[in-house]
Amino acid sequence: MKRRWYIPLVALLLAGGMMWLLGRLTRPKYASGPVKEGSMMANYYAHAQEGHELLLIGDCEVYESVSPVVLFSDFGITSYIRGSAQQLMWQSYYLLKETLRYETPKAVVLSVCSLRYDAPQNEAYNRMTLDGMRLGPEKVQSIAASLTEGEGALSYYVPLLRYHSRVFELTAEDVRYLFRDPELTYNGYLMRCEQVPYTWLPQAPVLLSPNFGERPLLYLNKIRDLCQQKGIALILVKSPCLYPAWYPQWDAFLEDYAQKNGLSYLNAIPYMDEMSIDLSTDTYDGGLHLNVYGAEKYTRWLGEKLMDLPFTDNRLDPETAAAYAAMTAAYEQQKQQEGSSHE
Amino acid sequence: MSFLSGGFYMLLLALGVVYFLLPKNRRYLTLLAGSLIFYGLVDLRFLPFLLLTATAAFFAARRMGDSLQRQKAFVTENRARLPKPALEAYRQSQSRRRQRVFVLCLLFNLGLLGALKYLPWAMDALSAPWQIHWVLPLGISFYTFQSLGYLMDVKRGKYPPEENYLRFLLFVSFFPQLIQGPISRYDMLSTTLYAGADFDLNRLGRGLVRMAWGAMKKLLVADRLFPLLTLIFDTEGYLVVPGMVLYALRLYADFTGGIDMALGVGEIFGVTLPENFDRPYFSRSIEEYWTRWHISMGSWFRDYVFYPLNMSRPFLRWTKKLRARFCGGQMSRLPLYVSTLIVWLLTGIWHGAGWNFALWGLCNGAVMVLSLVCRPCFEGFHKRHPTLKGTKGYAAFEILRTFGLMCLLRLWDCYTTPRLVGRALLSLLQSWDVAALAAALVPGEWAVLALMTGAMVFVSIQKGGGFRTRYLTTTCKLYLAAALLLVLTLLFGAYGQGYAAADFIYGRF
Repeated sequence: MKRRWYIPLVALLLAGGMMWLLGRLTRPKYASGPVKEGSMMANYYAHAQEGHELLLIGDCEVYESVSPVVLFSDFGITSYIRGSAQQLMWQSYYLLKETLRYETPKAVVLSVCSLRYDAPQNEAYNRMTLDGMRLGPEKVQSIAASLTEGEGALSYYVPLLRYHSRVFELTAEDVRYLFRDPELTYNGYLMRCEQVPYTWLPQAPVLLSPNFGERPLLYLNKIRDLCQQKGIALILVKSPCLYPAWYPQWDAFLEDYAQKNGLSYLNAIPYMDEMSIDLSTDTYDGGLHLNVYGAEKYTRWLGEKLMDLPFTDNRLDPETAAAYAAMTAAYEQQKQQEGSSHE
Repeated sequence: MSFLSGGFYMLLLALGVVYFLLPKNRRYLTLLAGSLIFYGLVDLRFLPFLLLTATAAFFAARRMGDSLQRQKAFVTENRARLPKPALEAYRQSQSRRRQRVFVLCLLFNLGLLGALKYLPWAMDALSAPWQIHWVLPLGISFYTFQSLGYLMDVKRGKYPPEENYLRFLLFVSFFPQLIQGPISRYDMLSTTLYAGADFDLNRLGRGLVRMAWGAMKKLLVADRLFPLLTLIFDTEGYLVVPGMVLYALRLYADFTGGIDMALGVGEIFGVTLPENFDRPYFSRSIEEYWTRWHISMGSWFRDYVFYPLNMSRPFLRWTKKLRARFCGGQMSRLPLYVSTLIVWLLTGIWHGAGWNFALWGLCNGAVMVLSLVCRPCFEGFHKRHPTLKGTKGYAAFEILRTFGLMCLLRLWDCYTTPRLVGRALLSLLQSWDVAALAAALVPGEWAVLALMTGAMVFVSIQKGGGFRTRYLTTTCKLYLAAALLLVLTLLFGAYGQGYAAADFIYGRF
């Protein structure tokens, strides 16, 4: 019998192609429903060539607290947020490393909130951070660093293995977003318009150790080194919120760390009054996260602090201004629509 | 490591590459290394027990083989010289020597099996002041029985013992069959196991299709039903009937799925393992059922327990006595019934250490005995209605009757104590909450189950060499089928996070 070596290869390619397509079909799209954070990572690549002067990296304390629209309209800074839910320090590092392959911003703002975590926490959050990343060395390394107990790396590369059970709950949305991800953010900013006032403050747990874990510090150092190598200013920020608790010992550590390494560290919590943040109107979940009104106030405060850096006023560039104008119009429209619906 | 783990496929790929690159006469070493790695990766602590069993059987068989050789040589050499009684005396002394070695090895291997598998249970059952919790090597019943079968065959002079320890170790430890069978016979397996088959694209495709089909049965049917059945059997009373039917489906999908995967892996390396299932749910009697379900186990008990027991001197004497006394009536068949019950008790115990397994075995034996006792009545009935047996309706009745009976007997498998079995049987008369059963799976899952069950029936009713021979006639079709089965399994299978993954059931034995 004639040996036809290509047949297994064709079958393998066919199976691989089908698995890729079915993986795209069955993965969650995060377009509707309460969780919208899952598509943010993949959205970046469409904007990667735009060139941003400021890159914000971190968890909900950047993607829900800092508005690139305000940074542009008030300060002329072009910015993008590469943030995702409970984004761990090593995930931030690999995301930064990946982003620097596409562009070199003048400054990086890093949320320090996740320094509190020294081990992978939650598969769902891992998925939201890692699934949208393009396949590359950074994704591979980030996956290896992020796996929780019992998780296998293979399902991050072959999403069908993880999401196949969704085959019984597919909707029209899954077909609509088969080949593109829903874009729900404004340069990475996820707008929340609900107003749920602060009513009570949970008791802060006793701080067992005044220091952060070794692992997040290792990656903080890596981020510092990477920024230094590329000549990028690194600003460490702690966004305003009531809880989870941010301890004075951590604050002192970061003050010291920033001073020793020639970095800026901005803890916004003591300046909430200065920003006019009112926790009866500026939070969507009783003080844990800022809503769009709080985020705009905080962004203006942050923008002022960033003005020491040599940013260009991009409002003078007609092309950039036009692009931001379109984004601002959509932003304002959503704010108006959702803001009024929540009143 | 299981057939469904990523590590297993990595190992398989590595073995495949090394196997076909090595010279033919060295290829078996790859399989041996792979088998030991596989078993070691399951649990390193299991390996010494496997090696002990295999080593004992190897050296015992060698001694028996040497004795037989010596006896033959002595007889040939001295046939003309010595008188017959002297030759016979030598023969008998050698036979006794072989018997001693055989019994020693039998006691050692069965002792090992008993100590590891049954002693902890016995201590617990007897409420002994101290309890034993030691390691139970996976598949110990399979490889112990395979070794003992070999030993008995050598003792009977069916074939000479294997001279090469590594080759014998491979026979005992061959990884596709190590954990869930089939229980192979040395004379049949060795012809392909050591042959070092050349790479064959078509055979690889056939093996892959068989593996994918097995995985599909396991993940689409058996594991999809697993949480549903847990729900049914945890809820006392209701839904026992659909539960029994679905349990039968799950068992079939799980067992045959595992065996299909084992046979598929064997096929990739050109090793032919015996078929273990032959459309058992189409059996028309319980006797027939047990010749079509777990065939290698049934035939093992038949050849190495049932026949030797019936042919043993005490049983022959007993039969003779009863025949003389009862002139060929039912009572004269009492030894046959007793040996049937003994074999089934042992079969039950082989399946697991627990009263429920022993009772399950005894119930099977009792049904067998009952059908033997009633055989004259059935034969009389069919003599009066000679056309009935040939009709399709009667065949369907017999198939359903056998299926129902097996479902009932399996209640011992679903419930662990006689009290629970009794309660389940009594609850058949209670109301059925079918809506709760329907709601346990989403409609899509029921549809997958129904389609896959239909596909299993369709594949199993194919005659003339089976589905692959009939429909997958070209290499191209084989690989396309393998790719399609793989994708369908990954898409519709019940696995991964959120599923209560279940190991292959036969792996527990």
